[in-house]
Amino acid sequence: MKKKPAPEIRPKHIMFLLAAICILLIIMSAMNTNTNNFLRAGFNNTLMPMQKGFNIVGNGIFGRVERLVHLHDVESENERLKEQVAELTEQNTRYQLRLSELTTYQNLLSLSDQYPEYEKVGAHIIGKNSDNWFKTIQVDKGSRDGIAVDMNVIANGGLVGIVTSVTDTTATISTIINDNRNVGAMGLTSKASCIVTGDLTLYENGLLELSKIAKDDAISNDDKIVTSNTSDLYLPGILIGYAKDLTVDSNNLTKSGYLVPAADFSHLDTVLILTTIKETGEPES
Amino acid sequence: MRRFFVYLGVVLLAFLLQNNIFAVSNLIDATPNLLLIITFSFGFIRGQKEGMFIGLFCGLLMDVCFGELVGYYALIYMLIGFVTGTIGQLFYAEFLNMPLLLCVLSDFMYNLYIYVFGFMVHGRMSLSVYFAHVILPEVVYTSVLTLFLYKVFFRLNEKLEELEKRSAKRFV
Repeated sequence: MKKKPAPEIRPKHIMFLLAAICILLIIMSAMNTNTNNFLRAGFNNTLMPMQKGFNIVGNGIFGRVERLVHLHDVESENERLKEQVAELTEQNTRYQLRLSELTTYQNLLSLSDQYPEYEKVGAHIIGKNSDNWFKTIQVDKGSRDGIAVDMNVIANGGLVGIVTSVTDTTATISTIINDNRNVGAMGLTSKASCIVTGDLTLYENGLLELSKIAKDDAISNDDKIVTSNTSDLYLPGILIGYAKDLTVDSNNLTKSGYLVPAADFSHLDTVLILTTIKETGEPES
Repeated sequence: MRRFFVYLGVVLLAFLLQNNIFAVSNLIDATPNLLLIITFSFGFIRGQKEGMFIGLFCGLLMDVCFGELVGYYALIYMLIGFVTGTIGQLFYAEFLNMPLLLCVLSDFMYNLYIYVFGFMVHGRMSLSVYFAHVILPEVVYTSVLTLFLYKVFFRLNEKLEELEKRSAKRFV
């Protein structure tokens, strides 16, 4: 092979170099989330005030138009919700009675509370991933406000997702409707385990996938599905949604169907971040 | 130097517009990809090197704010900058409807990359469903914006070249 005298760097070479750097970064961040956060920190701190500003301006303009467009839907929704409130209030009183009963029994048996009330931090959504594949959102609270990776996020009483990276002032949340997310779940009353999986094509109809329910387990349609005790990322007892259209799978061993999420993902605006992280018993790395 | 700051401003503006306004708003179902338009426009007009670096920067921004893996978006944006830069060497910038063709080409490249590495790898095989529901709407929205934005970027580049020539003469 002849050596070329001119040491000119061709664009092709730069391309290969940059591609190699990108792939290296991908591998590095896949292996260790800390590299990830380190790389994000510098970028994000300068970007965050701008993002927030744009978000406020955008909401100001689009919000007004949106309100007009959705007014009709909101009116009918309001009617429906009023009925629901009445129904739930009635239910709630019944549950409160039962709860007091339960506490008495628990005290008698000296059992500790399995589903304690978690500490929450409210956060505004300032950005969403603009590619139409992944459903990740960015909020205006970060490690300065006590947010850390793996914290659970809820809205409207339902599970929204999990924090995947934080900087000083922002946090990125991967939502459970994301195609690559699985949540270990269980039926609220039956305690039968199942798995909730995000699916982009199902989400078009506002649904998630519900699977791996043993055929004889007592989960039926409209049952409340909550996060499982055995999940290693999610705190137990957070409402995810309601089971729908369950059918026995072709293997005749398991049931699967859909889940209607409790959180309204298309109108998310503020979320609550639970600042408790699930204890898995693994030593801290 | 001036060119660098102009690029920086344009990319940041597009990033903020698409992620913090368009995507957050519930009025639009599919968000047009402004960063992609910038990448292929400048790649085509200015060549491989500038296309690559603008693409890399656009991708890194996306990675840092929304990606789970840093480098995932950077890689594809960078490659699109390179490919359109290569096409730019073969065709005139004024070639009829070239921007539209480039837009469709790079948007397909981009979405196919995300589909293959983000979805196909965990067993989502129905490309046709994703094509109809995700890729096509985005390509349409982005193409419509390209018709308008490519002209803006083309003018912007002409302005910059003019200024560069003028300041070069001053030093002679």
